[in-house]
Amino acid sequence: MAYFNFNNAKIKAVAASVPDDVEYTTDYSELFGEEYVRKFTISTGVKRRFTTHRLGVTASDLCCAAAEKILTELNYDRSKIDALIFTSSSRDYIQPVTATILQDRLGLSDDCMCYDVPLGCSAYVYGLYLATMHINSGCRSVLLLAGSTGEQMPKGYVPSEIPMLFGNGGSATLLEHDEAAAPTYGLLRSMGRDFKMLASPFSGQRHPFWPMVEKYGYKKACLLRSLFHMEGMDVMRFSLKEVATMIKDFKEHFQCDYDDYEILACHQANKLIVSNLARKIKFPLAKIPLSIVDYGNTGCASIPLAICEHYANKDTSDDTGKILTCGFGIGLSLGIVGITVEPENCFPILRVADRYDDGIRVEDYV
Amino acid sequence: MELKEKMALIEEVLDVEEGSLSPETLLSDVDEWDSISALSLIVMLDENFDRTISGAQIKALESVKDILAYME
Repeated sequence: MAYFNFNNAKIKAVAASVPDDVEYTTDYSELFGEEYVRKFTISTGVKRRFTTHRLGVTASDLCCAAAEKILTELNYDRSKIDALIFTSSSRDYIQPVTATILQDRLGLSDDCMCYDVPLGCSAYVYGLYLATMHINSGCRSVLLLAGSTGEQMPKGYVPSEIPMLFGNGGSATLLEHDEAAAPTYGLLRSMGRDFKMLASPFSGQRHPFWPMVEKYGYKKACLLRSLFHMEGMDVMRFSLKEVATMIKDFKEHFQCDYDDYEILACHQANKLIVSNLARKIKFPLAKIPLSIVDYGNTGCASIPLAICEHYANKDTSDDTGKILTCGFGIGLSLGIVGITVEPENCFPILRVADRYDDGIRVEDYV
Repeated sequence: MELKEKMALIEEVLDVEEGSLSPETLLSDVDEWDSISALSLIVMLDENFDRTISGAQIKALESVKDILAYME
């Protein structure tokens, strides 16, 4: 039973951000061939993305800027924020968690609990569940930060595959205790049996680094450690089967009528997946923002980014703010959550160029 | 669905000219058969034949005839 239904948690504001460095899919025509790039764009939908591989901005930088935007715009009392959750696997360090660094950067109180949830594309919907749960167990306000970035690469780096599917983005969502708030309700699922479908198999302690160096040499061990593997065809199958089934189960359980929702802010895996998922669940494609086209697949940031992009381009005067959010991916992990946002507090997407200086210098350590 | 229609669907998925494939055509001889057209094939089979096939099943395909076997 992973259905939930909470009252009392009002979504006060949503902000999203991208690194201030844009790339176009056609930039890669020369490297990978025009025909391949054309087919890539047709199936994935990606025409443009914002990227950190040159700027070196991190997910926490993006999330921090988004959170600052909300706190400043609302002139919000920071001492009321009793929890900060950083739902992301793009961490500043393996340890400590990134959430505490963000607590410090945002000037939150020592009475704020901070932790990371290193999920991928389902992180935002899991975060919504956690945040509403905290509100219902006594927190006055909760900041939910979700962002996804790749690492900065060396100058002159040439990718071996077209790197345009994954874009980078960050977000902040502020929730507040309010007895008049619309309910937050949803369904969360996991399918660990298929974890190999999407994984960085050699990135942790199961296949440790130094024994790999012994066995394969330093260079190959480094390549293995940063390897990300995706079985694209099985991801497609997972989306058409398991994700579609989950949405149908949710719809039945909560007796939903799709007409009641302004949009389905769906994880932007790729255009082929999003459009076929819409077909499977019979949700009108016109009510699913396709931010993949301009931002790529931004992992756990793709849902809040889609929300902000949608409201940035819209007259919100007669908008109920009632939306569905659906995330799915690595884990495998998936969820769907119904929420109500305040459209006028879903801010236009920010661009972030500054990389935070944490004061850490290699010379100080070794 | 008749064979002619099924062949037309496969040709559309592979983005090749109409009439350029036969059931005997080997996929390894079709330049357009790649990971992107494989995704389109999964979608086509799901949409038209209610068959959701896996990556392993895709990798096991050798000829157009093997695709036709899923189009029942």
